[in-house]
Amino acid sequence: MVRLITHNLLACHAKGCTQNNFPLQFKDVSIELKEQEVNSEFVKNFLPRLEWKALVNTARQLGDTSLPEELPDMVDDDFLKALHHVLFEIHVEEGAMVCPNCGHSYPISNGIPNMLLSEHEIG
Amino acid sequence: MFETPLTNIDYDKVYEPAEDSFLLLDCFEQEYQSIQQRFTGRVPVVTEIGTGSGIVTCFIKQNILPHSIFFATDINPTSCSTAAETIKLNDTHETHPFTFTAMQMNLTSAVRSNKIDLLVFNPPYVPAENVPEIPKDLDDSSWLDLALLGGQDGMMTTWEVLNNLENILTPEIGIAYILFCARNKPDQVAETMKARGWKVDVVIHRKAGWEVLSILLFQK
Ligand SMILES: C[S@@+](CC[C@H](N)C(=O)[O-])C[C@H]1O[C@@H](n2cnc3c(N)ncnc32)[C@H](O)[C@@H]1O
Ligand SMILES: [Zn+2]
Repeated sequence: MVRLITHNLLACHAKGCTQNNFPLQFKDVSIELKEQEVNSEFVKNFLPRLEWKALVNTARQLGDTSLPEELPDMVDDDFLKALHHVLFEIHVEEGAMVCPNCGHSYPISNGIPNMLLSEHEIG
Repeated sequence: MFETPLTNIDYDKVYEPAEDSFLLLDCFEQEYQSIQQRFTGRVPVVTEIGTGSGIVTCFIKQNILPHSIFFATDINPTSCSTAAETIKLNDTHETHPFTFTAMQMNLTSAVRSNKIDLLVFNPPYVPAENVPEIPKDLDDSSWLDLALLGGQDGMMTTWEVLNNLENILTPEIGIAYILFCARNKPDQVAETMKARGWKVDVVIHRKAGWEVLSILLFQK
């Protein structure tokens, strides 16, 4: 179950790929939206650890434009609700994540990403 | 006593929870308070390498740190799907079911550096000639070898993690619980890591059949 919270913590690790290797770009994805109760405290506590730009841009690529370009100074309930939705309720079940630098494609199947590299790609 | 998670496992393909797995559960039960304290006010990123059935991560999620982000990696694809099943099987309403991701991954290689707060690893620790190669076929009978065989001193895979621990864990906050058997020479490992500036403690040990298992806690 790849969600944007997961995606925000992953980067390409192919041999020699150390720059511009984040965020991975979703490709040919099939998505399921699954509702879940909002836990504002939880979302708020994780907020400082997110790469905000990467999150916003990735959400937009997947058609969700609810998040502001810049992280607001004051967060209210509506904002946390939108953030909760982006982080947890968008489930990428199939597709791939492609490295913006080296183009390596990491497939996702049944919600499980395959981040393994073959022998010659290992750094 | 916390409850042991339910599992539904194809034992031909996925590591069946054994003494080592249960020692980890007991370890986390014992460490409950200090772990809780350490991560107060934080949503920790918990990562288990080589999750197998997922039983250990599931236990942590249910009982120790319910409000966390969980990554469970394994090179064995059937382990990944089994771990996801295990989480589903045990999920209750309160435990925030969408915080868990199983990933087919070598160690923590695709997780960004310095993001993991709690690292857990029950490695392939049995001494052997080599660390086995990854089978090509999902139905290959050798997936379980990868769960057991750890090359020289049973330490080849574990050293890969220890040598990179500084880049894996969040600075200052991150900690790692790693399981050893006596033939891994955990005392020597502890000395080496201490010389590199780590604080190392044996948190629990137990005689399990002809093995003596121990779990070491690494922190800066
Ligand atoms: C001893 S089993 C532990 C399983 C489970 N965590 C438990 O305690 O019951 C070791 C697991 O590590 C996995 N493994 C071996 N080498 C690995 C690697 N390089 N990266 C990720 N997982 C690995 C195996 O497939 C196996 O599931
Ligand atoms: Zn790359």
